[in-house]
Amino acid sequence: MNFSNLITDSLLGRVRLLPNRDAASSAGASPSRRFFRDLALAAAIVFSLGQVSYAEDLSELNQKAISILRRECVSCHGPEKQEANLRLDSLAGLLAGGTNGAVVALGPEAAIDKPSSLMERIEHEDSELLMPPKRRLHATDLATLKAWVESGANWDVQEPQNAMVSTKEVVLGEALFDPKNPIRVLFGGKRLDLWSLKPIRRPKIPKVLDSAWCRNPIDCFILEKWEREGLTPAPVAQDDVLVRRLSLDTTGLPADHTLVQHFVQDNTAGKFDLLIDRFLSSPAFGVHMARMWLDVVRYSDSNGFDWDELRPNAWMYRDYVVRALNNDEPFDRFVEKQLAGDELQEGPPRNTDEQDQLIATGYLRLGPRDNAAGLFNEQDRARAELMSDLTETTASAMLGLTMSCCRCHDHKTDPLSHADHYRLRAFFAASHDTDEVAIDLQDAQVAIQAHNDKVDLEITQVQAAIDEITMRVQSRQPSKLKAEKVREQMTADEREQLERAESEHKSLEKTKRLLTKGFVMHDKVDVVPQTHVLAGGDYRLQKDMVAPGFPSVLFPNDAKMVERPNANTTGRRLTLARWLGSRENPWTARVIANRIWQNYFGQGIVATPNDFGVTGALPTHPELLDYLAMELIDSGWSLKHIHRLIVSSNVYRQQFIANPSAGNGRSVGTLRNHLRRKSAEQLRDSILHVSGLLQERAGGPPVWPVLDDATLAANPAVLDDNETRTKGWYPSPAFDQTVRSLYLVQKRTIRIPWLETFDLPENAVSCGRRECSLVAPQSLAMMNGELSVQASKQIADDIEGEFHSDHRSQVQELFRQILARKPRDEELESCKLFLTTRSLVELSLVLLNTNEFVFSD
Amino acid sequence: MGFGLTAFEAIRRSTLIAGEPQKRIRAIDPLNPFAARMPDFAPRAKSVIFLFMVGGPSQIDTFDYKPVLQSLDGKPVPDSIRKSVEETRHANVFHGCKKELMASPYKFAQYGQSGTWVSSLFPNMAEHVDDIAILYSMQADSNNHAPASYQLHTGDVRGGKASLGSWVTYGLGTENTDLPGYVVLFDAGPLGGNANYSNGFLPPAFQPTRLRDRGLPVLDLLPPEFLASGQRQSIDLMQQLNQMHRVEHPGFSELDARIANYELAYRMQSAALNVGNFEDEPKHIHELYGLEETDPRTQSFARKCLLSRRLVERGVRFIQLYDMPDKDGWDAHAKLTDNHDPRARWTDKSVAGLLTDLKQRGLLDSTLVIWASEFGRTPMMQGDMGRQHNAAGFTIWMAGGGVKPGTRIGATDDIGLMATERPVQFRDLHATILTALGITFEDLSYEVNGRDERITGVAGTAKPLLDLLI
Repeated sequence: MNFSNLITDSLLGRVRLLPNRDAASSAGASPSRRFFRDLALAAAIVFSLGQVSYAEDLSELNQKAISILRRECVSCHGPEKQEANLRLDSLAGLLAGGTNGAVVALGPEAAIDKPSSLMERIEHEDSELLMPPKRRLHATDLATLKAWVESGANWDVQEPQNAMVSTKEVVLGEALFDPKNPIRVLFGGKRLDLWSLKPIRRPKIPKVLDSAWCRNPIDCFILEKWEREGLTPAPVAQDDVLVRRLSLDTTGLPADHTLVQHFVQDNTAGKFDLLIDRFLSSPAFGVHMARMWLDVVRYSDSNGFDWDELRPNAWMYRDYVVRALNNDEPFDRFVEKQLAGDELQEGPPRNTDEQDQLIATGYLRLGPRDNAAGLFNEQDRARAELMSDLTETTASAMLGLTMSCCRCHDHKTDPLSHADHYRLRAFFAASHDTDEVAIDLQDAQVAIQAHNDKVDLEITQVQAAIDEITMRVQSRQPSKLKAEKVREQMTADEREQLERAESEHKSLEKTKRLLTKGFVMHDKVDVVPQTHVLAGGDYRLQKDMVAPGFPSVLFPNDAKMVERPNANTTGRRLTLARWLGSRENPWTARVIANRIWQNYFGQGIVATPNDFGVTGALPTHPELLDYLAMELIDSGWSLKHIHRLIVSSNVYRQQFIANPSAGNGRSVGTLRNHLRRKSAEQLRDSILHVSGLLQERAGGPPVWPVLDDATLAANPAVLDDNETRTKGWYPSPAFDQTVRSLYLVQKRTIRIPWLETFDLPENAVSCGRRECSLVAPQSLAMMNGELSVQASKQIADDIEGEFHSDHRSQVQELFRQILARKPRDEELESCKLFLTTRSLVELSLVLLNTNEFVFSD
Repeated sequence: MGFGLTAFEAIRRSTLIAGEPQKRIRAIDPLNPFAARMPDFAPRAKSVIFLFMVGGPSQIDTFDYKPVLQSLDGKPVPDSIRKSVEETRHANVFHGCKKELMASPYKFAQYGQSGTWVSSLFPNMAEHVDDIAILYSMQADSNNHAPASYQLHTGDVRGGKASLGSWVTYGLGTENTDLPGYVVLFDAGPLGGNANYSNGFLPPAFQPTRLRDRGLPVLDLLPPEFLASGQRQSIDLMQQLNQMHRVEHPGFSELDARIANYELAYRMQSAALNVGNFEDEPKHIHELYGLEETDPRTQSFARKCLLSRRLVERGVRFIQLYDMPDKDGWDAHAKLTDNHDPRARWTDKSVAGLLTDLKQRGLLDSTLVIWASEFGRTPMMQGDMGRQHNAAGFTIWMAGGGVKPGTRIGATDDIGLMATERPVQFRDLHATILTALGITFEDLSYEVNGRDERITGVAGTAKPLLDLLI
């Protein structure tokens, strides 16, 4: 909790009640009267503080006393709990007292009133009445509090961490151990044992008994724990299961029957490694993995809020992510481009890498944006929310730190101060959206410019001809004519000449080529707005100014800025990006390694991928996480290296076992005890894939599915589309509809019902992990929805054409196509029987609806 | 039915287990997320019907009668009022308005034993004033539709949070698993779209189901015609295949849950068709709601109100009903009367009919009905006889389940611009609704990125209006 906040609050809020209240002046009998009297006092104090240049003269005593209250009392008498209705985290709370009345009295009242019950309770002889419960404060703390209460219990402290963080002269040393570290001061030396603060160190590979089981070090980390726990590793899954699993996990698409068969029949020793190579280099890899990243950065093709305008070029960012992941762009560079690509770019991009530098900054613009706010004079609020959203998303996505709490106050559980939010936010202070930056390659821009120059030259000539005719006509007139009258005085010949020239002018204009303007961010360097800590997160309540800085628990000093790459930029975001991708920070590498692990096991080594803080999950295998993080860094931040390591392990190949401890008393070690339902995208793409309807496509503008009017009405703005066509819904042609789900338009206020039914996450906030539900409407969508019915028809058509009325072959082919295997005898018989009364379409639909198709094992 | 039986059994058992008293209402069985859960304390209401008048109906032309405003037509806002508003976070309420006030063009009269003032817009609702509690002093944090609307639905002006209906079904489950627990009804949705009624960060099981009052009530409820006759047979075969698959994958309860879902979906088909079929309603009920009126918009709103009653009757927990027949709703920036007259006509009778009907069936005691919007409108004129948004002070009402009839809370200043007596925030309203449902609102939380999110806010400053509840 933040002290000066509350002072400000009382100044702005409760205290303002006073002028209306007569009761304020009376020394009160009734509780409410006393309350107002206390408020009056509070007001008097606060106002007088205002006069004596508030908080300029920092009182050490005040600060100490308040630290003691915060350390010892506030957990029960503060924002979280208000035992006896008492809060001791603000002056107002102190004065208001609790159920048992006031706890301190100040000023002239002090002498009349009974002695401070705060001190009474802290010093009480009776252990039942003693505060904190059954624990006596240290003598020095007692003395401090006593002196403080006697001196008038002044609360005129400046927020301690701000004072330190923004004091330029104070340079703190080794953060965790420096007693002046603001985080140490704030939280009384606690919270510093958080696991994710510890530097990443390359761990020793553990020794295991069954070393033959380990295909790579990952297995050793896992097996070592199992051996300690007396668990036997679950057996490795069969080949056909492995192909299917690897295909779905790496590309998001099911494996074809032929591939499964080849793999099963293949006797080559390293066949699985070859398969891994094949999948990791498939273009579908990037499409699948991009989904994870786009969830994390809450990608959307639209603004959200009332109008939810389309962002016509946001898809370029989406395609960049696919491209970067497919090219195994080093992750530090991936982060750098997104946070600061524009800062590194001077002039038109000379190659695709530079082009991506610009496109990638779309990351900074992905958050919801309330374009209507200005109409109601709320643009400042909207901008403040945009900035905090960017700060919080960056912290979640890149650092696994939760910065939303400390938007308003010091973090409740993590070693993050109120100022930390704003220090991080300050890196973005100079950033401004721009739709004016051309992203075409330099050569193309030159060519376009040359072409347009040439056209302009021709236009000049045509214009000269037009002018000449006009002049000629004017010269015949006794007095100068108004422009619109000139035409009337032309001869038929002149008019024809003029019209010909004018039409040529028009058609020349049309031949001009347009530059492609990107969805990018840039810095405004002339005035960089100052960043202030905001009381309660309210943009109107500015407190101390802060400079850009990394989380102060490890980096208490202001960030040292990198040299500005060019004059058009501040270097702020680049500073942040460089730090994110450095060995200095203990979060980035761990966070992304954990996300990759989660992709393969459904749960990360840290189960809360966006929260590596105190309330987040602890790593189940901390050393394994560090091993992966170090491997990532040492491989030059190669994500594919991590993907390969994971899928090459034996752990990855294990069977799913529902009840690892059930059975014959031998407990089984496995990380897979829940089957995973395919995600919305995997399921839709799988249906399209097995039916042969899936359109290959390498990105481009989003594809708009056909939605019924009732669904489109979910945002009335659709009914109110404008000329620039930003608010409506523009269904794509039928043949485009069956692209991979990643390429479907992702609006914020109208969501594609089918995907939503299968748990498409909200795209206004970062989603680190998809929730997975199993609900009846999913069955309706699968049984009755157009997608599965259309796919079933397509499959049935293909098979019917090939196998006519041979039910046996039809069933076999159907199983091959949909489930990538042969039917077992029992299945074959049941399906054949079904076909005697029902159609092949219906049988296809049945197979698409089976658990085997919908779950992956 | 074939092989679905074991799964049925599993569901039935888990319902029984979940039905026993639990300390925390948050223990959600992921395989049966809708099982009815015990409230924290005796609930006053079991279901909620939230009537959302999209766009901001004017308080000063409906319920908040201001004789002073009537006398100041065409005059500027009195200095004292202007100053006191300008000192607050609501200063921007003047933005886009004229300086001059516009008197209400509507006649007000007193109704009921309470002598409550209601304008001529709502003659039917006016007959219920003694049954309802009126809150004259609501405030929102934004003067723009989407943020204010998000805040009323989710507690936050930013999109992406969980809506009240999701919170309530997350907390309490539902009484009838053959129907969705959280239903949304609209023609055009609220401004700001889907994010208003989304499950946000809550498990996707608590997302709402949109029911339509015409045609098929649920998207994809029925198969295309050519598949209809074979559907039972198809499900049986599929379940047979699923059982074989299950034998190969013993012990995975998620497989059982999905097997059960097909049987549930099958039952949902008939339950949803049944709830949407008004043929069994007698003629006087059709008339009561306004289904017999000739105006199609009146009919359309009437259908939604009647559908709400039928849903409540069947144990549906939360119904979010939007009055939004077009792209504007009550957003009367110009020509107030052109906007408000027809909208009142389209809704007044049905809302009153709903209250009457719930009452005569004994359902009103257990059904909390809320009539609200994201904000109200300014007493200042905007444009040509219109009114601007007003988040500084506006009126909503509540009735039924747990609401003390005839309660009046708060007041605005003399011209109906800003709440001056006992301002009520949306979080207070949320806390009140949750309290009426028997939920300890501080405890209804969900951890998101390390912090316990609550609809009433993380700051813990919400105050339920206990004096409004019985």
